[in-house]
Amino acid sequence: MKNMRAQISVAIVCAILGFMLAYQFKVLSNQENTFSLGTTTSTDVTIEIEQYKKQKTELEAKVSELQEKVNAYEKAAAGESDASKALLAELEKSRLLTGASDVQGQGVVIYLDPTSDLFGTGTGHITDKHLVYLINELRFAGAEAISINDIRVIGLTGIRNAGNYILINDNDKVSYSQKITIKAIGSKDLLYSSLSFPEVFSEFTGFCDVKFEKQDKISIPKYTKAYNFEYAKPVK
Amino acid sequence: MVGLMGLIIGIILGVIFNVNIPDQFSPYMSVAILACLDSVFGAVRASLSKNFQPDIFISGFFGNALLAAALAYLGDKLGVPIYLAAVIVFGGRLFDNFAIVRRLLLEKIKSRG
Repeated sequence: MKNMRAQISVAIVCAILGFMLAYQFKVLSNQENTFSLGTTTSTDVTIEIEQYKKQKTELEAKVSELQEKVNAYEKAAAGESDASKALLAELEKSRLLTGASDVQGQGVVIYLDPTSDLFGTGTGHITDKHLVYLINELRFAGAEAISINDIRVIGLTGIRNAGNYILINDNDKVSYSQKITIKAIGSKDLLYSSLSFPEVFSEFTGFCDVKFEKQDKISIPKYTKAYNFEYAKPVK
Repeated sequence: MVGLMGLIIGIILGVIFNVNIPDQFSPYMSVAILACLDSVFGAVRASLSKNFQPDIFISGFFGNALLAAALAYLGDKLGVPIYLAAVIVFGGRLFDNFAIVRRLLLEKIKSRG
């Protein structure tokens, strides 16, 4: 009787072992199938990134070259008649208002310097909500052009947290552990006084140093992505 | 013999059934499997030297597996690879037991022939 029980328990235990072995092999072979990065190494990925970065700068240079050509053609076409000149002026003005051209003027510059905390994480860090809040304040005070770390912020710009960075305009990243510079062109007195309200920066003071100043000649670069409305069509 | 049959049945069950244990436990499973293998080898050696006691075997099986998994989990939380201790000890015992089993089998074969 005791022998029977012993044998049965041994059999059960061995069955458990066999089950665990088979399960583990299955899981590992599944993982190898799905995680297909097995053949490439981190150096390959780094090299790919470098290539993409180089491609991106080359393409950006090409874009600005083509844009200049377009401008030249527009001027040439507009030189024919007054109507074309008026159209060109209208086009330039639209470009200015939609953020497709570099601008400069007076305004304020805000410097957000994250304080290095002794205890590491501390009370938090700058998030997308902080940036959105600041931009809202600036717009309400009449800012005509805003840029974050020289990334132009237009009406269609989205700002979102993504891991260790804050993504702006889908492609550009801002790291919240480094200094963030927000430039805004508008009436510098109005902007400055609206930022001087005490509760504007009350949420920032915990984890970063806030400094803002008026400046007379701020230049803000243009919005670099291609503008295209895919879904919104004009109402006739 | 019973053990071998049990093992085969267990493997077949493992292949057929699609159990869904969350993936985060998979490193702990590996260490637990090592502990179980060590227990089984110890049981084989005990049965060859007529010392086998089923309650020691079963308590050793589950106890070692749980302890190994707990050690791996603790090592994960602390950032120290404590599971290495379990791997080395169980691997060492595996080889020791296997050496003893080998000697016992060879003696049996020599004493028969």
